[in-house]
Formats: sequence, C-alpha cells, structure tokens
Amino acid sequence: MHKILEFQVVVLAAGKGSRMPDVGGSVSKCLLPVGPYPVLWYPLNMLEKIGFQDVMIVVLDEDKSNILNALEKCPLKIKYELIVIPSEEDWGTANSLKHVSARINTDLLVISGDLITNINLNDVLNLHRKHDACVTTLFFNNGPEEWIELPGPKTKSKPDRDLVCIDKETERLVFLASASDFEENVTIPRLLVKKYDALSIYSRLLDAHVYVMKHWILDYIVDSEKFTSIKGEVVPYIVKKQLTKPNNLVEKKGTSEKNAEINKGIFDYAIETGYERKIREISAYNDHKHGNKGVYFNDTLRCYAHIPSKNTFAIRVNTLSSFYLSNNKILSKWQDLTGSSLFERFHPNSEVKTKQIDDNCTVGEKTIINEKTSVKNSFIGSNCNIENKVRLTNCILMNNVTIKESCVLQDCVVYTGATVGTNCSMQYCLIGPHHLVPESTKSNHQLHAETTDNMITLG
Amino acid sequence: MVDAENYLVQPEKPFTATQRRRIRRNRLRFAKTDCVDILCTINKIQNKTKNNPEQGHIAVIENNKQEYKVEDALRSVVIKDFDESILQKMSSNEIPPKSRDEIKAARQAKKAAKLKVNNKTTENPQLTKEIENLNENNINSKPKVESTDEVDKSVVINPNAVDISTSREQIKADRAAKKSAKQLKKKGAADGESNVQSSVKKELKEDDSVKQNEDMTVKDVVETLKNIVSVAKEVNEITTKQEETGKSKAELRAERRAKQEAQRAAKQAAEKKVVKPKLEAPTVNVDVPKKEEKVIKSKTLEKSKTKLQLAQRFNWFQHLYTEFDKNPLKKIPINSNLHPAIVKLGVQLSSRVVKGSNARCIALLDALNKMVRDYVLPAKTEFSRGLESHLASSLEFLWTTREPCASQINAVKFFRHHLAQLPNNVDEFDAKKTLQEEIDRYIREQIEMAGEAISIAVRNKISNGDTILTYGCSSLIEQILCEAWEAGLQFRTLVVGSRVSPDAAEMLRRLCARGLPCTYVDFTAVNYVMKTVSKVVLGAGALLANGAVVSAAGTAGVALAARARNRPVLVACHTHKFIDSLYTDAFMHNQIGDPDDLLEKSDDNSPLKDWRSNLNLTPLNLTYDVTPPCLITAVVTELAILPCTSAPVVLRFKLSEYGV
Repeated sequence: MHKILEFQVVVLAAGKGSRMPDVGGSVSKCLLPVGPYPVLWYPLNMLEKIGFQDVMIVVLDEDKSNILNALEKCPLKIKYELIVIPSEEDWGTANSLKHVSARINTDLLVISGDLITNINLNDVLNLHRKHDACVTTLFFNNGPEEWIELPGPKTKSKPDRDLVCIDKETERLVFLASASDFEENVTIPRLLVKKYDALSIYSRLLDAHVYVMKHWILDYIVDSEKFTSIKGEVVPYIVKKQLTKPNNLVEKKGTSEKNAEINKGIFDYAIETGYERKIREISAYNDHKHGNKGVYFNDTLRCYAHIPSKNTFAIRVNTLSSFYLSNNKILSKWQDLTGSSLFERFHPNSEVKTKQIDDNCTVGEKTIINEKTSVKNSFIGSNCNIENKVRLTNCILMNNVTIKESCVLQDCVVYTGATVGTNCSMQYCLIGPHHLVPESTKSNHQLHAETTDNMITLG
Repeated sequence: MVDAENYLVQPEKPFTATQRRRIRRNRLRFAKTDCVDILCTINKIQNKTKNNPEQGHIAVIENNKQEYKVEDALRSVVIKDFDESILQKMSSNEIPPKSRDEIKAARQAKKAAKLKVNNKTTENPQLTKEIENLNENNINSKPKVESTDEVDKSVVINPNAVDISTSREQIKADRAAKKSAKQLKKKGAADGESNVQSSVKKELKEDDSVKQNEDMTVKDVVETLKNIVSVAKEVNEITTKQEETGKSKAELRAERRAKQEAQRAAKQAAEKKVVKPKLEAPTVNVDVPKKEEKVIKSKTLEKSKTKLQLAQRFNWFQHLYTEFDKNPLKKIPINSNLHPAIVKLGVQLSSRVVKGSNARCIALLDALNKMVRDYVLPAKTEFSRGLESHLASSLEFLWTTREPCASQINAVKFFRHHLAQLPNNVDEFDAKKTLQEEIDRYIREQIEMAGEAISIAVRNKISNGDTILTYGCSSLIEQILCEAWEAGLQFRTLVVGSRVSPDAAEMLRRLCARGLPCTYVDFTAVNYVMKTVSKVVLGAGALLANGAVVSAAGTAGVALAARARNRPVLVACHTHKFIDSLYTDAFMHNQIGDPDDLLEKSDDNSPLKDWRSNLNLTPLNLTYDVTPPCLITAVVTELAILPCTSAPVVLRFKLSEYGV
C-alpha cells in the first residue's frame, strides 16, 4: 500500500569541520572514527532504532565515495541516499535544505550528522505533534563539558554559546540568539515578559541540531532566499516571528495582486487546511494560566524545544575536544547508545598477534598488529600496520596508519595515512593525514602536519 | 486429590514442558479447591459458634474484625482473636461427630500452614501448594494419601516435617499460647467475656488432656492451632481480596496463568543454572530443594515488582487502568501505515491537548477527512473495503491513546454508515469527495448549527437579572452564554470549578474575555452559592439511553445541590452525543486521569508529593461521573427541550432520520 509518510529525514553531513584543528589535507568530519564506526553511523543507527526506514544524507561532493565505502562496512539496515552538494561553494545548511527540497513532500526532520546521543527521538516528535508546532528543536542540558587534556598544541578555544529562552512548563521556545551577538546587555522583548510568568534562560545548552519542521517552512526557506543557515538564521527568525501578529487580511486585500506576491510573509505559508483553529478554540485545553488570551496566546507560529533530563548522553563531534571525549566514553555507553552490545571488537580480517591488548580497544579491517606490542584504550582503524615493540595508550589511529618499530604513543590522534618512524616517543600529539614523522622524534603537545607553516594553525 | 497423587508419584521421570505445565495447572486447581474447602469448614465452624449462645458474641466481633483485617498492625491483634476463636471452636465441640469435622478442617489447614512455614516467603496458596508437593515428593508423598484418614494418622505425620527433638520449644509455645489467652481474658474482662474465656481455657485444658490421652503431644495441639490461625488468616486474606476486587473468574484465571508463566520462566532459568550439578550428582533428590529455593527467590522478586506496580491502583477501578498500562506514546510507530493526522491526533488526545467531547469529535472527523483525502486505493480493491480496513487500524491506534467518547463513537458510526453506502463501482475521486462532503456536513449540521439552535433555546430561558451557574468547561455552554450576552441579556454567571482540573478556570477566562460578569467559586462552595442561583446550565459528555448524563466529575454533585435548593438544572447537549448504551454508575465506564493532577503542583512541600513511595496511599482521579435523570430538569437539544428520560425517543428519531 502506498504510505503517507509523516516525516522525511535529512541528515546533514556536509560539514567541513571548521571547528576542528587544521591538520592539513581534508578530513571529512562525518568520517572521523568514534569507536569502531565513523561518526555518521551513530545518527543513522539512532534513526534506524526508532523506526525510520529511509534517510537522505547531504554530503560534500568530494566525500561521497569515501562515505559510501565507510557506510557499507557498518551494520545498517536503514536505506540511505546520498545527496551531493558542491564542495567548492560554501553552502550553509539552509542552502543544503533548499537543494533537497524538491524531494520532500512531508514534514521534515533535520539531524546533524555528528550527533551521538541516547535520547529517544520520539519525545521530540511527540512534542511537535502535541502542540502542532512549526519548529521543534532539541537541546541538551548536560552541564559544562568535561575537561580533558587534549592532544595537539594547547589552545584557548571559546565554544559558541547560545542564549535559549524557554517557558519551562510547556517547553515553548520563545527566544533564541547567539551569545556572541551581545556584548554586555541582553534585551528580551517586553512582550515575552508580559506573556509568561516564568522564563528560563540558558546559555550553556548543547544544541543538538535536531529540527522537526513543518513542510511549509521549507517552502518559505526556498522562496525567501535570504537564509543560509538553519541554526543561525531560520530558527531564530521563526522564533522571533512568534511574537508578531499576522497582517490583517483586509490590509492585504488592499494591495494589488502583484504586491501581495512579493510581500508574502511567513504567515502566508502557515495555512491550516482543516478545522485546527476551531478545534483549538473549543478544546478545554490551555497552556497558560493567566491573562485572557486563548490557547497558545492565539499564536499561529509555535516553536518548541525539548530538553531531556540531565543524565542523557549527548555529544556533538564537531570539535577536537568532543571528538576526543566521545572516543573516550563510547565503549562504556555502547549498550545505551546503540541498543545492542558490541560483538566484534577486532575485525575478523584483522591480524592481532599480540596478547597485550585490552578490552577497551577496537581494531579495524585488515589491520596488522605485530607481536610484542602493547595496546591500551586505543581505537585502530583499518589497513593499519603496527610493528613490533610499539606501545599505544589512549590513541586514535585512523585508516592506513603505519607505526614503525619501538614507538611509544600516548594520547595521540593519528590521521589517515600517516606514518610514524621508528623509535618515536609522543605524547598528546596530532599527526596530520599522510604525514611522515621522522625517526626518533620526541614531542609533547605538538601538531605534526603539512599545513602551510607546518605548525600550529587552529581555527 | 487422587489425581494429584498420580502426578506426584512420578517425580523422577523427566517431564516435557507441556506435561509440566499440565501438572502445575492441576496442582493449582487442587490448591484452589482446597482453599474453598477450608473456607467452607471455617464458615461452618463459625456458624456453629454462633449457634452457641455464649460464644456467639465473640464470633460476631471476630467477623467484624476479619473484614477490616487489611493492615499489618491490625492483623496481629486479629490473629490473636482468631487464635482464640479457634480454641473455642475446638473446645466447644466435645461431641465426637462434630469434632471430627473440625479436626478434619484443622488438619487441612495445618497441612497448608506447615508448608507455608516451610517456604515462609509466600502468601500465595498456589505457591505453597507447589512447594508442598515437592516436599511431599521427598517424604514419599505420604501425608497426602493419609489426609482423608483419621486424626491419629495426621498426628503421626507431624513429626515427619518438624523436628521432634525440640520438646523445649513445644513447652515454650504452649506457655505462650496460655499467656496470650490470659491476656485476652484480661482485656475482655470488661465486656464480660471473661467467663467465656475462662471456660474456654478450662475446655482447652480438658481438650489437651483428652488429646494427651489420645497420644497427642501438646506441641502438636499448639502447632495445629497456630497453623490453623495462619491458614485462616490466609484464607481470610484471599476471600477479602476476592471480595474487594470483585474479579471475574476469567480474570483470576488469566492472572494465575500470567503468574504461572513467570514462575515457569524463573524455573527454567534456575534449571539451566543447576544443569551442571545435576549431571555430576546422580541423586537428583538432593538437588531439588536447593533449586526450589532459588526459584522461590526469583519468584518473590518478580512478584514484589509487579505488586509494587499494581499496589497503587484502586481496587474497584482496576479495569479502568488499561490506558495507563499501555503508555502508547513511547512506542508510536514512525512512518507506519497510519496517516500523520491520525498520529498527531493520538498524541493530542493522549496528552489532553484536545479535550471536551465536541473538540474531540471535530478533531476526529478532521483527521478522518485528511485520511480520506490522502488515501490511495490499492489495486484491485473495492474502495469502501480498502478504506474500511485502513479506518479500522487507525481507530485501533486512536482508541489506545484515549478511550472514545460518545460523540466520537457516533461520528465513527456515521462515517462507517456513509462508507458502507458507497456503491461498489464508485470512482475513487467521487467517493472521496462524497465522504469529505459528508464529514463537513456532519460538522456543520450536527455540531455548529445544532449548537446555534441550542443556544437560542437556552437563551429563551434566560431572563434579565438571572444568575446562571455552570460547572467546568464546555464549549457549548460558552457559546450559549456568550451569545446570550451579546444578544443583550443581562445576567450574571457563576463558574464552579474544582481544584483538580483547570477546565473551569479556562471557562472563566473565556467568558471574561467576552466581557461577561463572572464569579468563580470552588466546588466546595456550591451549596452556599446555590441559594443565589436562578438556573443551572450544565454541559454533557454523553447522554445515555436511560437519561443519565455522563459529564466531568463533579457535575452530579452540582446537580444534586441544585435539586436540594429546587433550582432548575438544564443540560445542554447535542444529539450527536446521545448514545444507546446504559449504565447507572461511574464505576463501569470511566477514565482514570493523571493522579498527579490531584497534587498541588506549585507547592513543593505538599504532603502528597511523594505518594508513590507510600504504598498505602492511592490517589484516584476519575474523569467522569454519571448524573441520574432524577436530578435533571430538562435536556436542551437542537430538536427541542426534552425531559431527559426521552433520550430513547431522540435515539429512535435519529435512527429513522439519519440511519445512524
């Protein structure tokens, strides 16, 4: 039977990792390894777990083949379709959405491709359905990120913060802005204070980049052509527009047909076809206690934000610290995140000859780990070669890495195709893709990569 | 009994799963009949004691006490009483044929109790029975065989189970029993029971001596008495339970089956563990008791879990908790065959965003409308059949989120009626168009226009200077009052609400927003304000065939208060809420609201805050109540103002007019 889909899913995986340190060469963010699988696998797995059958993944042109290869090796039943956007042009998320808009004819669920969480997305969807919202988002309130000593040169990175204002009782999102937009004072619209008895303002929430949207919002994005980013522009705009009243119908009739076409505002898209308005009017429900306004203050646009309880696990792999942290924690949370236990820590095609490898390690396909090596808490990608007498502690080795004899690596991240010469000793180092570390290098908190000045450039 | 024996004799043979299941079921059946037997005998005994004029007084007291024997604190006292009562009964019947009956009963009770002592953990006769059987297997199942024989034999059995060597304990127990009897005597002295009790004591002694003559040890007597008490307690518990829950046999059976299944699972798990020692040691008998212990532990664990969940359910309303058990929102299928509008409506119904019977009806029809609009007919299917099956699955989902109300049932009936009337070879487009038009027509005629008609009818009954009292929130009443106000009538409105539901406050807000002069009073003040009221106008959720009105909980109270003051009670009700079912109380059909609504949420120090941790506290939040027809002056429908007993006429009229 022909199904009428309720939600279509778009996974945005075309990020370039602008918040990651520049290690020379291109590393696609969604293919960074977290535990045995790339980051992108986790949101897909989550979607599969709650019952989605198809997803669209927006990827960069250049990454397409890599991603296809990587996903084929992962255990996934969900059908995915890669949609390519050009890598040269710096497209924002809204542009990506515009690109796929032709294929979407239902409400929309947008998920960032770097989200690892154990939340049940049904909660978000139910919130959306419950209030017939136009946009529903998801934030995590997990407190400040754990401090962890990071590999690479020490930097002071300032995370982006958002100011999120929520009516706690109904979870209505009433104010959203980036903290960097304000210097000293934050002005909150007076109307908000008038409307709500109590508002909670958060500044340390982790934005999950999960958006449930009505289909007409997509139409609006496509038509208005002024948006490039969903998070930065579209959602704040809609949140702000909740406060304004739609223009009077009478007024609009006065203007000519042509004018109306041009001035088509967001409210002209938010059209309800059925009896929704009447139902809202006669239902005995009301979401607020005071004042003489009807339910939802008679607002046409309604945005909601779900904040799950504090002990949910959520991480967005978009910075070096979150990347490193997620690898640190992934195995202990595995069951919780994926709903199944990890069966194969070592890929069947790998050769692990040493016995000194503990349970917190994973080894990828066709990797050779020679004898007399000691591996602890490390994730080793595929096609790696680890020679004799190597000691690895808390390391992340991506694919095609070669570690020569007698190396000692501690808390290092070795990118794809890098080679570490014999007898190196490194702590907290980043080794860029296809870089060759000369023999007997000793370093601490260094970046070894082929960047322009060959050292320390961080975005 | 004999059948049970047959099963019990062959424990060495390995059973298949089905055999084992059958055996267990049989055992349970016997356990049940045993229970009933014991019950009967105890009743007999009581009757006998009642016949005895001296002791009748005590017996009555005991009966009363038994009924209230729920709490543990009470229980110990009652046990004493009961202990004593049985002493009396034992002693009072000195005539041989009678005593035989009693001894039989005692023996049966004792047996059960003994086994109960053996496994300590259970209150459940089924479990005890099982353990019993197993124990008996160890003792070559003698006691059972002899159970129908004479007293002496049962006495012989006793030492088998309990250590004979503990003669000191026997004496101690004996002393304790005497002491308790004395204490009771002291207590009862004021009531003039002392005579009876002393006589009881004497008789007891006599009894003892008699029994000693019969080669019965004192310990046996004491123990039997104790056992009787415990069994009697048990039986009493069971009976009270049964009485309270009022469960049908089928329900009980289903419960038992569920329990059985849990037990079996536990057993299997335990067996798996024990497989290895079994192989090593050929003497299986040695292993059996250990295994049982494990099983019992796991069983009690499981039981306690489910008990905790079930404990805070109001016994009379167990059948209403189905919605709570399902918790449908957690597992809504994503992108399934259900139409998105249906899923959305399900969430809204469940979270009470759409409430009130008119809103629910319109929302349902709206969702159906969208479903019809987007329905794609599979190849080679008749339109009405294809849509009917689709409709059935959608409704099934919707009703799990919230039970349908009368208006929804009628709307579905109407929709099905029109669906069935579509000709076989109808074009898909035409069929959709017809159905959508019918839905629109239904909403327009049955709800909107009918509402207007009712509004006019009630308006004619309102005169200037009136005070109108209304309860809760009803979209129809709101419409009536607002339109009357806008028509220039001068009246005052009293909105009555309860603390539990915010509906009345919402009603007040809506009326105030339209400029009506309103007063809000709490439900507790209804009686006080009723004297100032000239008319009571109430909304309805459904009107039953006997004229009773199902409406938000509290409506009946308001109607009663109005009747007491002799104020006219008008119920405004669309005819699409008339329904041909019939019930006279709010117990049969009702809905359990969120128990947390009963709490004052703003108050962090509310004593009810952590009610979930107090097992003796059961908040019950019923959604509806039933107002009997005698409290209602008239029902205002779009057809006419009718006495509510003419509901059947309306139903018949609608049947002839609309076919539904």
